[in-house]
Amino acid sequence: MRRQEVYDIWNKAREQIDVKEDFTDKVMNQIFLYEQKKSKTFFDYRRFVDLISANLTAQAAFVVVGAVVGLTRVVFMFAVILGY
Amino acid sequence: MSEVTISPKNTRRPWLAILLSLIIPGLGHLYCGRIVRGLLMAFLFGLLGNMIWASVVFLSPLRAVFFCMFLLTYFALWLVPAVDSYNIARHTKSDYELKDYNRLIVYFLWAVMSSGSSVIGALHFREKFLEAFRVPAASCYPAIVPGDRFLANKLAYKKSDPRRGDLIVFINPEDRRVKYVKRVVAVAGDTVEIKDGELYINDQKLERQKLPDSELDKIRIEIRGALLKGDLYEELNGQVKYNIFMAHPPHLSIPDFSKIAIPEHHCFVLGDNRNNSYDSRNFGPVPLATVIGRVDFLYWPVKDISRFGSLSSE
Repeated sequence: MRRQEVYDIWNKAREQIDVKEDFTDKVMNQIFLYEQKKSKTFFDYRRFVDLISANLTAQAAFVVVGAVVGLTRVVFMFAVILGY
Repeated sequence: MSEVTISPKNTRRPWLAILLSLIIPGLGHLYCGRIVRGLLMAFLFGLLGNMIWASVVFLSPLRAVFFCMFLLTYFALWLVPAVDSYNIARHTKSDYELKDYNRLIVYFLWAVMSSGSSVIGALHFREKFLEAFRVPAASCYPAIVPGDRFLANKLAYKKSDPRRGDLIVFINPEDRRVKYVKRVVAVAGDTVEIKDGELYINDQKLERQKLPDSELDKIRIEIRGALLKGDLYEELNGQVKYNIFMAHPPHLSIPDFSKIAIPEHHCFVLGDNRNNSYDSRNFGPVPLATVIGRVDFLYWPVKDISRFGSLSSE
């Protein structure tokens, strides 16, 4: 089979495939999702922060936890010096 | 064509800025892209922390006042970075451009280094400047009540020797694992003698003045289940005055101690609870090399909170 014949057959077959208008978008989306999935870490902290940011109670709870942790840290420093 | 958002939103979250600043002062500023301000906050916080302890070492006789003042300021300064980073985060535009240091690993390293340096600093301070002790015995009653906790100033004798009237912490000459706290009554070159219950320094009998029993009301203690009874005296040793306690039962009367001269680089120590103390009468003069520091600051007084603060004699 000559090369021209092969090309003509492929070209004819291609013309019969119905390529929709959003085909490119779909492909790009798939690539993006694939890339995201590939780079997904064990703990996605950005998503976690977004999740907390959506809930005021959760924000308050985290700030309180932060205050407790910070205070504990300061008290620990005092305990290092005042421990006997 | 549907839009695909690839770049993440970089909005600075005020609650997260507060959270980070509360855990480690300055970290919230780092998160908000204000690294210099964050470093400054962290430095000020550390500096004030050191000033609390420096006040105990250097700011006699108002050390209790400065200690409380710096302590309050310290906790206030802990809140300042949190509020400041909250405000910065609130006014940061939603298209905040991430800096090189806006990474989880950098925040983690900042936290580790900040905490690590604080612990190392505190341990160094304890090793070189101040050390805390808790007293289980009543040998220095009434100045120190069993259960009291105090800070010993390790810098006090770097440039001078202990003076008469100082309360000192030293290593027990008979068991190096044990530390004692006693009062210096005589220093190198002095002579010491106890005769008929009276203390003689350089052949001079130390004057004692009986104080009213009511002075002991708030700090009465029990020994082996029985209330310790006795008299309180003010003893004048050279220019220094301090209180001593004489327990009542006659069998506890102070035995005589023949006259000795205190050798160079030594001092003679007695417990303020004169007839209930194991001291230089038992183990001899204390070498200055074994003195750890001067008892300067009672930070945890039992029974009577008004005793909080300085322990130096008049």
